[in-house]
Amino acid sequence: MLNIFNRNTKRYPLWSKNTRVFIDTSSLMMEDASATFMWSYLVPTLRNNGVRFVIVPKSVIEELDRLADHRGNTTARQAQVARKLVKGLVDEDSAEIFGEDDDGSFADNLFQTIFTRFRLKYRLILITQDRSLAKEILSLNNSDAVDKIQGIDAFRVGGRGDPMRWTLDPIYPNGVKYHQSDSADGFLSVTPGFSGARETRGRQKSPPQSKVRKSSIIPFEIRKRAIQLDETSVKIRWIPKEGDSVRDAKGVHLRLGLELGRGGEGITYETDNNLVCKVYHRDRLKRFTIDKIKLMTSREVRHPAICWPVSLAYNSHDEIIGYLMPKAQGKELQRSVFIKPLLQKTFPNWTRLHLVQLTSTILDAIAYLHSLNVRMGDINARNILVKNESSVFFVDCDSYQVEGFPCPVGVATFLAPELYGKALRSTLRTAEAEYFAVATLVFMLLHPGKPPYAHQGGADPAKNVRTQHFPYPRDDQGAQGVPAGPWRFMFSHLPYCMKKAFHQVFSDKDRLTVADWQELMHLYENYLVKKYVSDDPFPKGFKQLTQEQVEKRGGTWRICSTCGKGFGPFKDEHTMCGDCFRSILRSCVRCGKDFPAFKDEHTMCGDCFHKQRPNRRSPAYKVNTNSSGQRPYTSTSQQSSLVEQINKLYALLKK
Amino acid sequence: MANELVLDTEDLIENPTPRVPITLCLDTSYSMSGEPIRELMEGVALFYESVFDDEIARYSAEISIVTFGNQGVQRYADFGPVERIPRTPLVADGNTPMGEAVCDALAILEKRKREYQNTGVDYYQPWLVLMTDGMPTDDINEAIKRVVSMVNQKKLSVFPIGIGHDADMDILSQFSPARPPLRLQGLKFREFFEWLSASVQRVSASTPGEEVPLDLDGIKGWGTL
Repeated sequence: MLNIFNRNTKRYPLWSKNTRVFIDTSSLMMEDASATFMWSYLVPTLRNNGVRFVIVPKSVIEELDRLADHRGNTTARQAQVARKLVKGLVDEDSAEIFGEDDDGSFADNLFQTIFTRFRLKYRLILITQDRSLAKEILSLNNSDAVDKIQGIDAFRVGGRGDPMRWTLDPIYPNGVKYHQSDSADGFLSVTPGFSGARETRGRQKSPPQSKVRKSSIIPFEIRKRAIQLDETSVKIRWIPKEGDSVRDAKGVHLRLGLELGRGGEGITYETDNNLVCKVYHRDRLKRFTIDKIKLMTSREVRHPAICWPVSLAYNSHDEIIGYLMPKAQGKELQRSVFIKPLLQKTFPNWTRLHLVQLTSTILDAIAYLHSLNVRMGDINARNILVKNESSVFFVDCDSYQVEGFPCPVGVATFLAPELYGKALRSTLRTAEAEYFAVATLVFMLLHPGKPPYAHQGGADPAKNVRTQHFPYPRDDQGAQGVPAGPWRFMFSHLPYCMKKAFHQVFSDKDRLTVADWQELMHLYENYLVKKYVSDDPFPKGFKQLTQEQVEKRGGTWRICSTCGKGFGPFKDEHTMCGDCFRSILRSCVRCGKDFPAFKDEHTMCGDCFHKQRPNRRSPAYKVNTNSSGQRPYTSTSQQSSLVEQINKLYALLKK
Repeated sequence: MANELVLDTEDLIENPTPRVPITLCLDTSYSMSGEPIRELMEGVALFYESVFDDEIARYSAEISIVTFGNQGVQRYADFGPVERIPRTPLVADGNTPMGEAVCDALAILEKRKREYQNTGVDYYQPWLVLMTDGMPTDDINEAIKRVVSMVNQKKLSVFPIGIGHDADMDILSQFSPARPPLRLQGLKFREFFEWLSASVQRVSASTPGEEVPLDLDGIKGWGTL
């Protein structure tokens, strides 16, 4: 999978007395998020591991000073807030500043030098928001001296102040991606009460233990084999209904209110303590359900998006009649987002940004379940309810795969091809199968309601999943049976990394993880905010870049050699706009693949043509002499000041 | 007309929901005269309404109607958005060309499936609802052969329903290798169509490889074996 790029065989533990943490300007400028990150995550983690402070280069402080002086704009405000944050940290003995005044060196360059120099001696961590800096720093893990390197990691500050880990991965921009830091990273998180330390400025060195908790509860076990489900019906003498009293496992009585819904297994009621009670129909409550709910309620899974069972429910004869769970709000995806008229009715002001944010919200909740080793199994458009783009509710959690209890149901569109023909009641699903469903869900959120494998010449959803024909265009290869309607326009407006990701999953069958999708959504959101891509949820035509957009991305604006319209080429050899290029595509008489017929007499694609006459092939690849993307070399004066800085730093590091 | 055609295509391709095409094949022969045909007509209108009222069914079910009886075999309603309830009154007259009607119903289902395929719209196996109060007056062997073959290949779900005591349940059962035909209790067309519309919602939630779970308790509200 993708993570192989990050797996270093011999690594020192992330946190020890030998760990040194550096922070870059960009990660201090996130206002509330930076403060939350420092006070709720980083500082408690440092203290807990005997690391005394985070190191802030003097040049970072100078950069903040410079930025703070530009009065009246957002950047200035962010820099001012960042300066206060650093001051607070220094006052708390949680940060140290090193370096000399006005040395004029770039902080980025400084980090490279420091990390190169000290990577054998210390376990190093950089906190930065800068992709290319993260990439360069992480690349320092892979050198000749790789055996002796203690390990370098990079993190960024997430939108809510949570730590996000940077990982090298060539398919992402700058060859690096980020994702939610997991429990293996060992970040502590401290309840908001602790951040009061900023105001009190007490000399308290470490927060009271009771307020520190590991960021997750004990995950469920991972089982290799499914439990043989005990399908014996449990006798219930008296089934309560609206107005009747039931009690929970602790003996607390509650009253059943209005009926909320009715299904094959039972009826759900509101209760007077704002929960929901599922009461099973006669003979529908099975022994295994009770065992499963008991297991599920053995952990305090309290996530705002997940209607996880909180307790079994009993009638007045002390018989189990169902279970209690939190109340969901919002409308099913199928009734709110997956059909254009309903989307426009439910969320009239939604743009593409809302769809992307909704996707992130859903992914975060799925990632949380995965961190507890729970698989949703039956991900579908009916059991995720949407209140708004940042609030969703997962219902029907009793079908989730927990330890040896399999998820017995599934819906065709989301069921991974390898699960077809398997008995779901006795099959444990793999992470890979879950990733298939997740990718399908992401696709259907960004192309509201359209299944990824729907194509011209297709059939029923089950057959389409098994055929695995993904019809959308890829690089120079045209679309093959792409469905009629607006879907192809939506796909064309996606950022390139998204298109590539969908092809990786649906064409190459190499499934991305939830963390991969989370990172892609952050990127997509960023592109939307910066207006690099269209914010229209239902674009009416293919993507046409403006000259400004092309130049912003570092491309050159060209005039199409055929139609004379301007277009933005992404490769040097492109001389024709996309529309004209597509118009000259024809199928190769030999292999059947689409190829551009630049001359009317061309009947065969380049590959087949050359196979036929091997000697004609000229050296195909020109050598690229100009290695771009390199940072400018440090000047001599900067280097000398650097040496001095490093000597001072060395003294500081040894503290 | 041309405008309606454009609209239909738009409805077809802009709605991403996998479809359940349903053809009602209805007996309008002379013996249906009077109350039965009125109740049937109301039942059909109610079917369209209750499908429309449910947001899941509205965007997944597509309905067409073929009648046999008055003026032979008629395409009473073609596939289209369910808000377009057919209003032309059904007239009971003539004999019972059931064989021809079933073949025609299969033909329009086939045509609709081709439209789905050509535009890249997902669909579930079509439903054929066959309702009669008597016995066929034409050759039904070809129709039975084709229906049975499609049901066995899981390319069609068939719901044969007998109306009244004269309905030939034996003929109806020949159309349905998987499940026995049901007899409508009295003139409970409305109850039947309400049940049918609720069943449409269950299709999209079904687990592949398993039969669409029909609401068996619900059948008691309108039908008997």
